[in-house]
Amino acid sequence: MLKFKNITTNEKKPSLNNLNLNVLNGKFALLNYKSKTEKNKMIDLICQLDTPKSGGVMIGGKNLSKFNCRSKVIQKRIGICFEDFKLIQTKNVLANVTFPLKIHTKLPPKKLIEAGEKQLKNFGLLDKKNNFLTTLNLQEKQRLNIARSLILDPELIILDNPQIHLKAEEIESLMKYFQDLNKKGKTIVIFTNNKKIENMINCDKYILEKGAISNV
Amino acid sequence: MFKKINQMNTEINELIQKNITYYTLSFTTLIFAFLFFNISVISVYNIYQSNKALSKSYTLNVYMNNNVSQNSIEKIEKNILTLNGIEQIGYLNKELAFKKLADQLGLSNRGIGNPLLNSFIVKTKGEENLNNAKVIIDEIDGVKEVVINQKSITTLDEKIKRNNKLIIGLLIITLLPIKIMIFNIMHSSVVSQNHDIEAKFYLGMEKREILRPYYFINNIKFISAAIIGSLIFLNLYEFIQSQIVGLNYIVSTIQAGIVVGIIIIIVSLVFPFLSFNLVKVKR
Repeated sequence: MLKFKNITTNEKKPSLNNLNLNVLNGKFALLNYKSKTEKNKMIDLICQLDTPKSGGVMIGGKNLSKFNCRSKVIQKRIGICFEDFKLIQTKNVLANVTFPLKIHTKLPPKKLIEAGEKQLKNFGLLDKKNNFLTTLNLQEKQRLNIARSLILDPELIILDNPQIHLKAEEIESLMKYFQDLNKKGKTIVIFTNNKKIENMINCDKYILEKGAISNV
Repeated sequence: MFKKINQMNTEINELIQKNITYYTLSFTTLIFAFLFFNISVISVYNIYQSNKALSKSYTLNVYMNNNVSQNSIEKIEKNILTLNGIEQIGYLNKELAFKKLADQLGLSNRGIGNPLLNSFIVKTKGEENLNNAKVIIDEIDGVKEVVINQKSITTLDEKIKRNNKLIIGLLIITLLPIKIMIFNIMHSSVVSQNHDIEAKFYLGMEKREILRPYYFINNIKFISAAIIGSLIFLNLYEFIQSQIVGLNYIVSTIQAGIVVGIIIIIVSLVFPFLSFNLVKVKR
């Protein structure tokens, strides 16, 4: 599902150097990282916001370097939960959660709202659907971030430190939820240094260090 | 197509609603910036026009012999008019000149012989034309003497040089900061939204689609502030010109309006293209 093949990035001192990773369809992978820059570079490559100097990134068997511009078809298949949330300040909770649907699907407004409300309900945010982000606490923002990453029902889910700002019991139930999703065939890649999560889930574990990935 | 327009409309509404205070303040500041911009532009234009008029005022006096007939005077006038750089010529009859002089000095001209000569007052464009004209006119039959008042020429030169310095000074002191101010306001209105722009980018939206509402708001804000600022300025200009006596030398409101209009149209046409470069996102 997600393959990094001999990736070397463009900087003078490349943050990723001959990096290889192959996460097969339906797998749950956990990446322990030493450097935030390296981790962010990997996410940028997945989002097609950066191109490597050499090597290729493949998502669902499609080589991203073959696209001249960012492919919406590929973007539609990925759900990303960002460490810094990347929520849109000018939009309310409902508009934030439905944003990926709005740009990647042609759903009519009514269906968009329905889907958004359903997702918010799953994450306990329905009563705050008309609120702006300034009224949410960090925990709620994180839940909204996760809810948004899953709204497209993506095949590949990238989770960048999804446990941040969440309480221990919430983290546990969240991990169970992800494992259920994984059992339903979703491919999940989680970037975290949290030892509890590492012990909580049964997955393939990797270490991202010095620009390359090694198995644990 | 309609979906895109609708989407952009929603984005614009959200942006304005969320940042209404910022947009109102920046719009007001822009109007004032344009008001001062127009004041500077028209001041520079007025000084430029005044310099143009001054450069056409280099004067020489052509005195004629006493025995020159009326016919010859007319011929001399025609001859002078054919010379290069002649802007204006006026004939001064010696009786009239004497009467004027007597009036100025408060004397009675009765019984006093008129020592003055018939003359032409010739105005040329620039000092070089003045000197060339002097040489040629000196050779014309019937001309007794050609006189250039060196003191007034030096004063005129100094005035033109001072005005030129004033134009450069005004351009640097006022126009440049105003230009920077206008562009900074426009730039900051997008940079302040960088967080949202980046988020939309990461979520898979195209850069063009993301920036479209920002360009739209920026351009509308810019053009309307330019128009409002200019209209306020023109009203003030008309008021000042009509109310303050002795300001006849400044350009008319219509002329100022045309200049301001042309500048605003050019800037408004150029700005949307420039704003493309102004708006820079992380990637």
